[in-house]
Amino acid sequence: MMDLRMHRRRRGFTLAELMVVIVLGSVVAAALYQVLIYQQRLYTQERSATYRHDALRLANAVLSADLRDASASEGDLVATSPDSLSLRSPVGFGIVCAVDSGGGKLGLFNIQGRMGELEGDSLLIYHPNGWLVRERETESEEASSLNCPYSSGPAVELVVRVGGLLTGIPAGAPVRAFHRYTYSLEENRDDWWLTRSDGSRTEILVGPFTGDGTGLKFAYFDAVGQSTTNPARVARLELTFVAESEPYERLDTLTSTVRPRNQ
Amino acid sequence: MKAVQLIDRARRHDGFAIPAAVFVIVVLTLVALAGLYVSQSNATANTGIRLSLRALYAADAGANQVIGTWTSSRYRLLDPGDSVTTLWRTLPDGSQYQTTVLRVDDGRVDSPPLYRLQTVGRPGQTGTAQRVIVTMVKVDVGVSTCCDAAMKTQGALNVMGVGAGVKVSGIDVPPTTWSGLCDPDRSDIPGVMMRNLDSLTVTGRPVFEGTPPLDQDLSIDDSDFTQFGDLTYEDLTRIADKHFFGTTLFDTLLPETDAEGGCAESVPTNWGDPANPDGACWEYLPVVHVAGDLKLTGAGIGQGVLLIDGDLEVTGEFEYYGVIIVQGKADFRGTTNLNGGLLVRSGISTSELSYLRGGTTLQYSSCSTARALARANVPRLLAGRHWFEVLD
Repeated sequence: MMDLRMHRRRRGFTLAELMVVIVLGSVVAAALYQVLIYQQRLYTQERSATYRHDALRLANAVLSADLRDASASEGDLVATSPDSLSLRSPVGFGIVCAVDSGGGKLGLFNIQGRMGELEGDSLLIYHPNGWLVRERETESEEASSLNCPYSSGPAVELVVRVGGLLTGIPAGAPVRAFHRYTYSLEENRDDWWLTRSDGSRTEILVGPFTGDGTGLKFAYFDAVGQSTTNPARVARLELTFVAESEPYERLDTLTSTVRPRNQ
Repeated sequence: MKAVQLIDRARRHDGFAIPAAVFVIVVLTLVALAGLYVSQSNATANTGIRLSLRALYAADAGANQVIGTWTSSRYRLLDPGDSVTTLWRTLPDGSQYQTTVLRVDDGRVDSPPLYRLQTVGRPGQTGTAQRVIVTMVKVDVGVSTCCDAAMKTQGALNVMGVGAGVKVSGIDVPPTTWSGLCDPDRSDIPGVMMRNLDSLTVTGRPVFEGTPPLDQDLSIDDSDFTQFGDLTYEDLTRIADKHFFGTTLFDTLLPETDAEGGCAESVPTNWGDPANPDGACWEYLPVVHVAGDLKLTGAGIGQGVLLIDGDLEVTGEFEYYGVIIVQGKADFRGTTNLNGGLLVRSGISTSELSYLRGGTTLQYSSCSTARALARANVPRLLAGRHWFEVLD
């Protein structure tokens, strides 16, 4: 009889015990909820900051890479303004080792990127009297139709047929393929994005950036550090990007300086 | 008995505090890890950018370093299509680079050699980033530096043909010990060429040979001694293998070998070995620059290109094969045997008086001058565009 009473007492909880458990559990759950809410907000902010930083890094990397290769004095900066920049963007590289002036053909090796295959691509070819701008013609050529003049070493990787005179181009002349692009901010679905346009096609590259005119800024300086509006005199550029993100309307700014190497 | 019952009861009691605590700890840990991951991915991206830029700067610096040490390197001796790759070199900040130099021209003598320098940069031990750049270099060779005459000067000249005698010859003769090693142009040039022959004073019976032996050219001016085709005097001083500053005096100039039997090129008094085609220093033809006056008092022999910003004074025995350019005045009063060409600008004042006296022989030799000037290579970045980044 006594054992049965004890067994009954062990199986249940008193009201007081339940109340204590409910209150304590609620306090712990509420605290945990607060922590989770706070953490989620923090996470969202961090993620937004990461997106903004990624946008800044990518935009800066793309523009810096193009600008480093540019030669302002040779006309690679086509049009400059505080919020946009048109330039000859490098898309390929090669070295001439054989020239067929009569046939309008160049034998190239050390090919990197594309050598003028796309519409709008052009070639810049070194000539002792100044760089030549030439268009690649579409006919394909067998690489074996020209030979490099080296007893050992590189062989012709690509033969391109090029319009215009080729006389005087020496073996060893570098060739840079380029495509003229304009970098600016464009609005798309209520956000402003860094875009690259060649006049017929516009690519959205990265974003979003602020759309109040501060999202992308170019400042141009000459060799002595004076501000210049003459594209041919640009020796240094200052790029400023302001990236923004939802939902907390946070902004991040990146300013970088690029010196075109080909001066 | 009561204590045993209490322990037994405690053991059998089914609580939830520990599972709840473990749950809370797990949730908080996951939340903290998520936050850490987000922060770390951002930091990782930043580190990647930083290392990538460091690699780019290493490639840039490496290419410049290769160009800066061009003259003393083997790149200039490459045949068209041949290449040479440096070892991985470490820069002062710990970043590293490796450059492959490829000669890309076709070897024609009427156009300057062209080279492609492909340089790989890495940030060093701390990262795996890598950037590759191509630098295009044109090399100007100083073949047009010399010579219009065995001796060319725009100042006054006093030739004293007494004692051991003085001989100035523009007849192209190869050095006697170079038999079979060089085929001279055999195109004779004037012995002495001056802006004004009235400034020439001759005593005794010196020998002048050449076509003509004595020549006057009123157009001679400073540029004849500072501008040589595409090259300038400054270019040549910049690529000099040896530099001496202030008034410099040598009483001995002799070729030296190192412990392995190679030419000890770093020895200041080793200016090559023109007398011994089988010697270790036969192929060593340094460009020597003296930023001041040079006085040679003892016995000396050398070859290459000798550039003197001030005056030259030879009182000892001096045998030289190559080209000597003196921006001040020259006074040869010891025993000199020059095979090659001499240019004396008298640049301080055109009234400056140079002397040829004692036992001085100035013998033009196209072999000597061509051999010396072929080593005087000045690398230049290709005009307009020379820098390209290789994007893999």
